[in-house]
Amino acid sequence: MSAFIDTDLPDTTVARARAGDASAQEQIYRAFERPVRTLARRLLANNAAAEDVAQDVFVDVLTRLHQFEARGSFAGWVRSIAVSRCLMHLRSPWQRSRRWLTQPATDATEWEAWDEHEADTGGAGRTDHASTIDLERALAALNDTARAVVWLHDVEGYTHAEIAAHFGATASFSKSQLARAHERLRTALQAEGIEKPCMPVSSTC
Amino acid sequence: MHARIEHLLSIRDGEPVAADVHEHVVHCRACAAALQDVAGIREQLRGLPVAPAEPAGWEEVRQRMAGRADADKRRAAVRRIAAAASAAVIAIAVSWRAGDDFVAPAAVTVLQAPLAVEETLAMDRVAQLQTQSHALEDVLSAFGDAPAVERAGTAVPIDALEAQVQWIDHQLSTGDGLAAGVAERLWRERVDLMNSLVQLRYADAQRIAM
Repeated sequence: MSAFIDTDLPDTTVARARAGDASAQEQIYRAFERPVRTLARRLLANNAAAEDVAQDVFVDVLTRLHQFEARGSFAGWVRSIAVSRCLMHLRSPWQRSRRWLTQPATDATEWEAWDEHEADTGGAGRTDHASTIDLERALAALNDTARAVVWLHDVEGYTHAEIAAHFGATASFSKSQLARAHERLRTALQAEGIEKPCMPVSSTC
Repeated sequence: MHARIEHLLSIRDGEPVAADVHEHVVHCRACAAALQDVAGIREQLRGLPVAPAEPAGWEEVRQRMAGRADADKRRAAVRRIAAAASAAVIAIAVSWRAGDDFVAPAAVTVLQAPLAVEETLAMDRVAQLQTQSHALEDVLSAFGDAPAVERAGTAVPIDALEAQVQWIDHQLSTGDGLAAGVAERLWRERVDLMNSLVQLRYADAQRIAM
């Protein structure tokens, strides 16, 4: 589930940060550091770029606090800035051309480091270490759009309409990207041999 | 015919699908298994680890914020200079235009005007040009020293323009008792050169601020 869901701050912290209180600004950073960095790494599949974008997200958040209106949750506002920043990065022609020269983070080493950290800190949902690594590899190997759509929809809980708005496209576009992503993830995971056992097909099909 | 993955995702997400498709998925073991797969992948994705905290991260964010604030200040300074330069250019253009309007009737009457009147008018125009030239000097000095790293495209013309300005200054300073017409021509050339210099320095400043 989205790491942003459980993250929120008292209104007073946001107000103090808006007034220039450095300790409140740091509190905001500490509260959202992990969700923002996770989102950036999952969407960009490039660790160096993700770290860079995550830093920029916090600069944006902290310098635009006056634009936050308390109508929605602060966590939602931070997440929308993070998503916009990541998609801007993916759309940038300059970054696209650079990605031709760099491999996505399909190397398991980085993900394994995360897993070990999770295990150390008692992270939940770690049922199968190998399958987690395989899924992370498969996710990173998707094309940028499919990866962003599947993460935003399945993990962050965005609707197709919301995703479409971020991409400047239609809900059908989001649905077809999600389907494509799932198709490829299933294929990749089955090829890794960790997916479901053979199941007989009904004669009625 | 098995259900397409779009249908399976719609069923998984509780979105409406055609009744016959829904019926098929309920009774087809392959499609039911595929539905389980897409639901399972979502659960697996949600269970992926969260990025660990980065101890040095906050310091980096603070540095970036400071850097961005500096860049904003530089941009604001360039905007102020640009506004001043624009105002100076407009003022010069307006005064030239006004000068032309003023000259036109004088040119009509010049045949009847005594020489002293023409010289007085030329002296007025020289005074105007000197004021414009000083205004442009102020704008130029607002740009500060030339950047340490210069762009070849502007550095060469800037050097050339400055050399021409120096030559004109030399002529003006050594030419005591210059005829009013000659002085006017020199000052007009100086204003033209200064105007070009301001434009080039402005272009340079914009490039640095970007």
